[in-house]
Amino acid sequence: MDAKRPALPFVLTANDLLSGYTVYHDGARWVPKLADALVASDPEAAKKLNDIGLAELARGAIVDPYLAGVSIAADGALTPRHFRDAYRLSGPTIAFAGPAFVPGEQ
Amino acid sequence: MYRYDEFDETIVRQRAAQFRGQVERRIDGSLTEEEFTPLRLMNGLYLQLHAYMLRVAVPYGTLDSKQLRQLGLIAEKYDRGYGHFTTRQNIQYNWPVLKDVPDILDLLADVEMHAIQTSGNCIRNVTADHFAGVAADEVEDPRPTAELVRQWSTLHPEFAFLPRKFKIAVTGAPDDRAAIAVHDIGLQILRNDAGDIGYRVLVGGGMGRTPFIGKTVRQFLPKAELLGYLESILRVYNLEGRRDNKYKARVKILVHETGTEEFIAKVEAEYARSPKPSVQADPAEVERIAAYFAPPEYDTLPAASEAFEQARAADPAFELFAATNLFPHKIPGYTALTVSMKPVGAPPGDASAKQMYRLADIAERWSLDELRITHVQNVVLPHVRLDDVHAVWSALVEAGLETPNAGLITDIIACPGMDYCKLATARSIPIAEAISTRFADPVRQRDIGPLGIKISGCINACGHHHVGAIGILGLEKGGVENYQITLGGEPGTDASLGERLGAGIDGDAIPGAIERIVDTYLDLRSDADEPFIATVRRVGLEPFKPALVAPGVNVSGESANAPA
Repeated sequence: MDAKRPALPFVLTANDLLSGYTVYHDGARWVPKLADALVASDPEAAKKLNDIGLAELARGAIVDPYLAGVSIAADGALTPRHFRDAYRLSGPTIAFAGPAFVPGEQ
Repeated sequence: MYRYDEFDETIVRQRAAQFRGQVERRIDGSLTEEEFTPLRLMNGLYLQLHAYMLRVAVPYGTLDSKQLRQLGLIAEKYDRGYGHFTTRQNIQYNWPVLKDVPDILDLLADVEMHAIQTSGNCIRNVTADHFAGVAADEVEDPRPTAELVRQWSTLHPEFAFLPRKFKIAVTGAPDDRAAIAVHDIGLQILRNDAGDIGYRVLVGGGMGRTPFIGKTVRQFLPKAELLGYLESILRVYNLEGRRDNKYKARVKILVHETGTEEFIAKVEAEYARSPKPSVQADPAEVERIAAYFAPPEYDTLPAASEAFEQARAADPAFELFAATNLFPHKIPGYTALTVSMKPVGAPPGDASAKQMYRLADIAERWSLDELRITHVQNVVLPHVRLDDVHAVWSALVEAGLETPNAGLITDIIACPGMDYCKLATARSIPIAEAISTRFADPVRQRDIGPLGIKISGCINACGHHHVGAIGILGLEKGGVENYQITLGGEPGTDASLGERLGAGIDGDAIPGAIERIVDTYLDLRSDADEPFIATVRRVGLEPFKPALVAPGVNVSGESANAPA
């Protein structure tokens, strides 16, 4: 967690233990939508998210937590800064034989 | 086909039961993720970018219809309705949830399948020529050897924690269709001057961030000595392979750093002092295994089929398929038929549950109940009567599986890339789809001729880009996906590694660059029979380098014609 801390602002994300799906932390619990994530924009919030990540890792309900940089639009909408995080948010960018995977709507 | 004995059955059932307990303990918190990760990996369960992924072993790519129906059922019930055939002749499911995986393993065990040793630093699923037992050029069917190695390596206590993963491939034919030169160990079955069967043994091939072509360590190993000699190679590797650096831990690095001659000397010394009678396979057991691969009961047929020839003459679409997707069978009147899992513009290697059911039906009716998964991510129906090819093709048309592109430019290998994979640095599948769409015209593909494009979404090279006639490697550069193109790779006989053509380019620019590379080839080839790889080897890379840049665009990527 600490070693991977990106530039502010960022959110805390992980994979859910049971489903493996991408989840974000809203400050109280894990949620499926980035829009509901708690955003750390200052050092105090950054420490809080980092501490939550470490505690949640120890608790074991999620896997591979890390802090992911986001951009905040004028209307408050969050966008991942790195394309990998964008794909984690969107699901596969390709069509496949089964029903589409829409994170947050599973 | 091989059938489980009581030991196979017991091992697989016990492992499934063990894993059920391990999953329960992970979910109730008794096991930490750190404790659980090696246990799930031993059962082929990865955690990928969006979900868990289960990799199921298909030993040397061989399936019957019952097994494929079960794989379809698993896709339908526990995944999102599809599976993905891999470059190790396996199948992967992209969306299982953790609690369901023990149930999936039970379903696999019901049809003599499992996910053991599809991950981890052990000897992985053994691969073989997908035309094994069928090919007219074969010295001997490689499947009994592959099965012997599978049984020997399954839960082998000495080799369960190697420095790194270990992959073995077997070909029974001089024309290598199993890519043995890019495996940790490659085995080629051959005859010596006395007419005895044995193996040419290659060690230290591989791809990844440091690619090597395997070195021949024995030109002829008598057949009966295989397991003892493999054990000596593995023992040297297990003792001396690097465990301090994951990126230098494969046997290819040991062979390279030790030197081939010195490595051979170490293996031979180990072999000389091994208690040979106790480590070689029991001849009776070898015979028992081989009996399972006895040829099926073929009909006695004329070499040519009038019905087949009439259908070819009558239907241009069928003629195109017949000219592209059939492979000579050693039995008169039969052919091995490649079902391309590369429809235009779709992910390479994906099969829906419905397609799996349909393929199972087709195999049961027209291919003596047998199918093969190829390392090129296709499916082979190995025993189709020429008289039946048109009926099979018609059934494939109904299933959307009639793409006539086996071995052609749209028969692309692509790893899952960043659409699924946690390790990827860029996406692979959209690049494959874009190239496939650009070259969709089947007549144009036939005119271009044999050309293997292989795409990896990271340096680990799961998409075999090093041995692509055109290889594409996806990386990150400056926060965006960037793709390097290599030319001149070849996976089979006379294997070679591709060389980089130049600086990386954006994904959007790839189809255009590939088109210009192909146009350059068409201009330069000596005649229509000179394949792409031969032209590249003859003329070198230099004539192809301008193809990387679109006309009117300078090397910085700015349009030369744009206003200042």
